Amino acid sequence: MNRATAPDLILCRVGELTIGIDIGFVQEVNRLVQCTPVPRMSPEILGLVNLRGSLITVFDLNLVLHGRPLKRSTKTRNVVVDHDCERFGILVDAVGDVLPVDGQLLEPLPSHTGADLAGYLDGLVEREGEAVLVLNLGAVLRCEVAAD
Amino acid sequence: MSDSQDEMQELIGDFVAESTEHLSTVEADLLSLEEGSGDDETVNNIFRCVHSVKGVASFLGLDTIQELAHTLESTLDLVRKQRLEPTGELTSVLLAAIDELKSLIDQAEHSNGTDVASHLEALRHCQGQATEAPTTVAAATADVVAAPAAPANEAQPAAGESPAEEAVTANKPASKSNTAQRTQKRGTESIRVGVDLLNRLMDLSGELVLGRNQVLRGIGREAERSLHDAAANLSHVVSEMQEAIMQTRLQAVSTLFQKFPRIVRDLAGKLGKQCRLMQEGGEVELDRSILEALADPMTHLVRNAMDHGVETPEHRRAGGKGAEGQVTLRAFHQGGNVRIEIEDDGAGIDPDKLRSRAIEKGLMSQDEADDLSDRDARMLIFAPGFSTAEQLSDISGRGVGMDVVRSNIEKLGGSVNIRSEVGEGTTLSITIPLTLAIMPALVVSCAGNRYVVPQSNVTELVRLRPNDPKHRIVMVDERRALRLRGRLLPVVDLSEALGLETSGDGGGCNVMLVQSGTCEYGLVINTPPDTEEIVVKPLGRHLRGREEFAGSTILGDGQVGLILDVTGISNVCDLRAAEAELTTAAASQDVGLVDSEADLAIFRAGGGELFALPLGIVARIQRATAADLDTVGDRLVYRSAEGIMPVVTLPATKRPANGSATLLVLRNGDRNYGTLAESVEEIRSEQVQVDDQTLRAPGVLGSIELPQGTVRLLDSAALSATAFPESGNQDAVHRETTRILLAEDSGFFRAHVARVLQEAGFVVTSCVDGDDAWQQLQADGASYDLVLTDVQMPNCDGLELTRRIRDHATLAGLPVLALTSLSTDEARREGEAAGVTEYLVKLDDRTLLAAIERNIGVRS
Repeated sequence: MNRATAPDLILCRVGELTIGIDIGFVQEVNRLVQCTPVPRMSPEILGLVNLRGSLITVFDLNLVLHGRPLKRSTKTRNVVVDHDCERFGILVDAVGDVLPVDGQLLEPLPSHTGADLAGYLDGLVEREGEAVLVLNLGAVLRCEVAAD
Repeated sequence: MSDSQDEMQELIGDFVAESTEHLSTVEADLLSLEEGSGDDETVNNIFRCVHSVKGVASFLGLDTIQELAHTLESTLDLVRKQRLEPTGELTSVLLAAIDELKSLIDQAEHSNGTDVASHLEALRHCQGQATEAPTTVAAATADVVAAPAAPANEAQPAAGESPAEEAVTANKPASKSNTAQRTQKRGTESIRVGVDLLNRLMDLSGELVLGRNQVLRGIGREAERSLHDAAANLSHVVSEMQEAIMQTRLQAVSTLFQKFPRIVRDLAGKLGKQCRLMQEGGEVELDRSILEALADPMTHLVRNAMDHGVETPEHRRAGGKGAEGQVTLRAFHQGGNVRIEIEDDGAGIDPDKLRSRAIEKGLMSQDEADDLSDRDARMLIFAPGFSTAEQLSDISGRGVGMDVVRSNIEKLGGSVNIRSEVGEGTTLSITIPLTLAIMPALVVSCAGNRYVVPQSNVTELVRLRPNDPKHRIVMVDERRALRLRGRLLPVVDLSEALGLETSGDGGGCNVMLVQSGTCEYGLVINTPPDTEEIVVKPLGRHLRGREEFAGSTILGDGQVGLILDVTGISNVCDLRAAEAELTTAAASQDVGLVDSEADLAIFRAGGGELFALPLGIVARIQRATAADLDTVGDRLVYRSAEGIMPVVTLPATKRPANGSATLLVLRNGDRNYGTLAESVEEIRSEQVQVDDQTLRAPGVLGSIELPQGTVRLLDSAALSATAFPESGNQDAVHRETTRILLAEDSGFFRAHVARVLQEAGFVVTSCVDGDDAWQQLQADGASYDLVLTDVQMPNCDGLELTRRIRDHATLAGLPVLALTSLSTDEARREGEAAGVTEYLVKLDDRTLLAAIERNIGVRS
């Protein structure tokens, strides 16, 4: 089986998971100031945020990945990504380093990964003995459609 | 290598944009040429455009484009030299070639090798028809244009082998003789800027405004004067800048209009009709995005006008009209909006045809269709699945369309209306806001967040006071509805509409009435809304499907606010159905639609005494300063901008020596008068029991017991008689023999009307309800000259009484005037159906007397 090379990743903490987001998508990381909720939206969508004059839809990655809403703390960060010509915010518990590829290949997910979670992941890479789950951004942004 | 490829790409991109712009005016010019309204400059302009396309195309190696442009150019040259007449045939060939040229340009990179032989052939064929000798005048003109073949040293990358070259160089800025023409055509200088960039500028300017506001707040009061001045200046500049950026988005309506001459021409040919297109107000400017969004609906409407409106020449002649029809496109400003009208002088829309069509289609029953006014019937063309063309054609009329047209226009915050006269023509008018980008809006809070409603959707704000029976929310068949001025409107809590939990009881005491299309309803909100100018931003893809929201915006403090879509909400909450249900409910049962008749203004005058006047005659309540009050002769008057108004003072009421007093302005026909009050206590709208015996006195109809004390109900007829002593009743003598039967259940009104009539000299018999009146009539019917009846009465209402009279053998001819506080068209129709002679609104004494005067003696 042909394995793709992993992209450069920004490492984020989501609950107990370490998630890598393809840095190619990431525009900036900021603290979420004020988020306006949208009535009758699926709970994964936290709401809308004013990013210097443009509006972005913000997702709660905790809720998407393991069904528990995010607990806001001082480390909570909003990762702004550009996907399909639209900007989104992905809210995570903390943002860490950037992990360069160094030609690492994307490993398949361990077989015990839950099907729900696996649907949002592209695979994993290892970093200092720890598994970094590579996020499938498209799947996350489609989660609301899937939830219906 | 890749750099030069990029460069090439960019060049081609520029070429496409520039050529498209050039060619956009060519079509209109060609058409005006055909019509004969074009002049030399028109030909030259077409020529120049085609020529510059040719030049750049050859530079870029776009051979096919160059070849076609070249052939076009040579043909045009013959027209320019007046060796070819711009006939219809030639124009068609030219138009087709221009179309081809445009589509080639659209895909410039792949244009080489496209087969354009047929166009070349047709053009050459036309060239072959050219006459040899141009007229001398034409030759002279051509000479003038060609003469100053100046040494233009701009790098014009044109292949210069054609005779066209001279003319084009003649138009380079070297020639003096052409300056006038050039400025006339070119207008002010401009550059091309991407819309994305403009939008970004808009966003940033919005942010700048927010920043400015924060700075202004931060500076506070203690700051130095110089800082304040700087801040004020900044604030001014920012506002002006925002306005200027706004204006960059505006475009003249003519950019929208310019494609229609061609459409009309082509359609006229296809349909065998003759039609002229007129345009007015092309200079009116509209937001670019609106113009774009209007293109499709407009095209549809123009096609309709051509297809269904304008008749064939034979039909027109038969109808006594000129063979040539006319379609007019018109744009103008109207009260902050832009109105665009599409007018034709064709057959008009026959409402009866639409009615029968609607019945045929099962959209409504015969009765419903009969009830429809002509105007409403015409609006049926906007109903989904409605097509009236007797024969479906490929031009228009597949019955999908007009409803789409309407909903598209409504999405833009606009509305569409129709006026039509059978045989005269039809005018469709579209009203739309100037810009979508910035609009005034109301901001409401709901469950901790703020939502925005465009002001154009809001018709009224109503504050509900507890215990105010006049404006209150009632339950009708499980539906909540607001009783407002004789109407029932469906209402919904905003929180409920949005599916939000409301935290406890916020009071829900404000209702925002909103209107979208034909549906009007109320949104119940807890706090009164704020107003704000908002910049509309589109919703992200996740929210786009949500009917409740039309967009989003950034509010003054930087927070996001969602813009509510009032049509969407009415769909989500099924309010259209609710409205229909309420209408039927209101018709079938008495839900207290009629505003209680004894609405009273209660006030203190004469040293704290309580008085009441019917609210219906109170035009307004205002402050009057001592300076505005004056004595003329022995009478007190109030001076205002409108003129002088007599003021009646109640016993022991002093006019204010200085300071001000409360003035109740009372209606009396078209002349108002006033009375002074010390204070206005309240407006009482519940049914009150009037004691018309105990305290009855001249000028006082009776008394009412209220918690504050005894209130004396004033007789407005007596007051107005005091105010206008000159309008005495000279006619009274002639009226003494006229007997009027009055049926009215409200004691107050009975006393009032009776008094007005007696004052006027009539003999009045009062009855407490319809039954009472009927008994009177049966006993002594012959002695009455006229019946005056209230509509809403217990036992037997006014309409029933009227029906009984009309069905009676001897009484049938008696004039019956109905008095009502509810004057709607519907009620009027019902009254007419029952046989009411005239329908009158209560408390307009003059009209009442005039109506009686009109109707006595006409006993038929």
